[in-house]
Amino acid sequence: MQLFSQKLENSKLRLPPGVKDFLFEETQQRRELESRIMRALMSKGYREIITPTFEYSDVFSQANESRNALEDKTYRFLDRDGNLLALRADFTAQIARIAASRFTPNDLPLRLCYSGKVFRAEPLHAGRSREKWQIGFELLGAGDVDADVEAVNNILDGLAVLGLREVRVALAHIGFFNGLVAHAGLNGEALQHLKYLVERKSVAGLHETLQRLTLPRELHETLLQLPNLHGDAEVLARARRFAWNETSRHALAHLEAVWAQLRGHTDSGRVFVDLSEVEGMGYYTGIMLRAFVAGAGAEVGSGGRYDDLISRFGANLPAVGFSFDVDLLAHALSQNSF
Amino acid sequence: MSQPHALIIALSKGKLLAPSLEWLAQKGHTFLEKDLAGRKLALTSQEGALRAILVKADDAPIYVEYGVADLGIAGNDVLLESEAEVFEPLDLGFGQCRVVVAGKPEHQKEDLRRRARVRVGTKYPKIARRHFDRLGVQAEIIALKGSVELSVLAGLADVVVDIVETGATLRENGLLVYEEIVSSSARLIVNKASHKLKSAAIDALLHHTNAQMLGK
Repeated sequence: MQLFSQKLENSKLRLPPGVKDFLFEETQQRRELESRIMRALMSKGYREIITPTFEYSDVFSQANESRNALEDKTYRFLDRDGNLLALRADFTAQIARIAASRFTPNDLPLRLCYSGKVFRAEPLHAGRSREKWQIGFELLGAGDVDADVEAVNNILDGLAVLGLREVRVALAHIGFFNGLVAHAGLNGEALQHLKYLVERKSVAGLHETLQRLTLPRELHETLLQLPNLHGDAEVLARARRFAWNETSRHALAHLEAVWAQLRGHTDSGRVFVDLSEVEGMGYYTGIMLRAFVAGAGAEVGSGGRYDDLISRFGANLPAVGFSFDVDLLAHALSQNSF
Repeated sequence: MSQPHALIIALSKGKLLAPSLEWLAQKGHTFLEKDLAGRKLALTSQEGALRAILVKADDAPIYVEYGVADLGIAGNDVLLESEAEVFEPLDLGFGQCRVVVAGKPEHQKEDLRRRARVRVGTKYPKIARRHFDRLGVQAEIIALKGSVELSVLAGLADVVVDIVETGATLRENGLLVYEEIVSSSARLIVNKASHKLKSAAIDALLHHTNAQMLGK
């Protein structure tokens, strides 16, 4: 490889870790996939908005009332008057603020979409970016099964217009796990650790940790089974015997209802259930969605339902949203063909 | 010949390789000895359903995290040090060892928290950092590549964080285990996307052993 400049010792050429320049083909590819996904969303009645790149830090902290991983990754700085500002770490928090302040009940249900960057101080690991380009949608003011089905369809359509064939959307529901541990009397730290082990599907780690915690036998056994609760509708049926309280039962019934309405997709394996997916944004209250495509080693997008978030900004609105990761989609597309 | 949708598994070279191949053979995936003896980096199983890439033990989690391999076999010590975001649904039981803090016998009773500085020689800087942070010890972690016992003997470090199997190496060097940080064994690890996109094939490989383990 021949480089124009050999002055590699020149520190002015360096970029901070986690950010990138994109030249012609790579820019073009990203713009093309952006326009395809945005057009697909707009054709379904989603309207694009632009949110500020930075705003008062409170907006993001408000959204993450309970201490959340995102909180530690937010870039904060002071303005000239000494106010604490933050770079946009998350679109959803901003959209919650906007929904609560700029719209009235007559506007509901509200369908919004966006394309832009979020900034997160990710650990420098596995090529992770600190500036992530997201394309997303939010469906506000609709809390029923139909709304979650619409979200899944939006995701699959977004992947389809890119020409991606080998795709899978994983459905989970935070209520299933929350219901299981609701009355176990676990402190925040123990709960966090259990969540981490379940999410990692570490049966060995769970064995070891559960030996130290004295949990009811039923819960102990269920937590050990969780890493295996993934697959199709059969998993939802199998999970019923673990759902001994109302919250867990309701979560399963909801997933079953969503599954039933996605028949065309479930038959072809484009939808998948994984009840061991328990980590996500701190504000998720219901279904959680992750998208996978061949050629990308991690999820190319994630989202979920957040029925309590907008009320923190003063309006009580159920909502579901999702965002695609443009760079990971571009990577997957270059592995296949665009 | 490999099948078009063969799973790719990253196998750690070194002492985990023989038991890994034995485990795979029990699952119906055999690799020829003549292939293994050669210098080939990628091998196809006799049955064609699995392709193996042989990598340095420290690198196995990285190949799996990036999704170049769908699966891998790696020691828990290596996994904890790599901080790779992968799933680890199965403890394979072999390759057992412990990650410990060790040092000279005469300092065993000393409370390391009282010291302004404790120098730690280790090949596991991240595990060591997390351990001493948790204890509130002001540790200066010295990342080494070679025999870490020497760092204490030569006066570079106060203690070492290292893996022990039998403890013979430490004893030979006159060092004593102060405490265990974590016990380790080989884990089957899975890429996050492969877990969803190739779940049927992966579950088929996993299922049998998991059932046995839970029945224990």
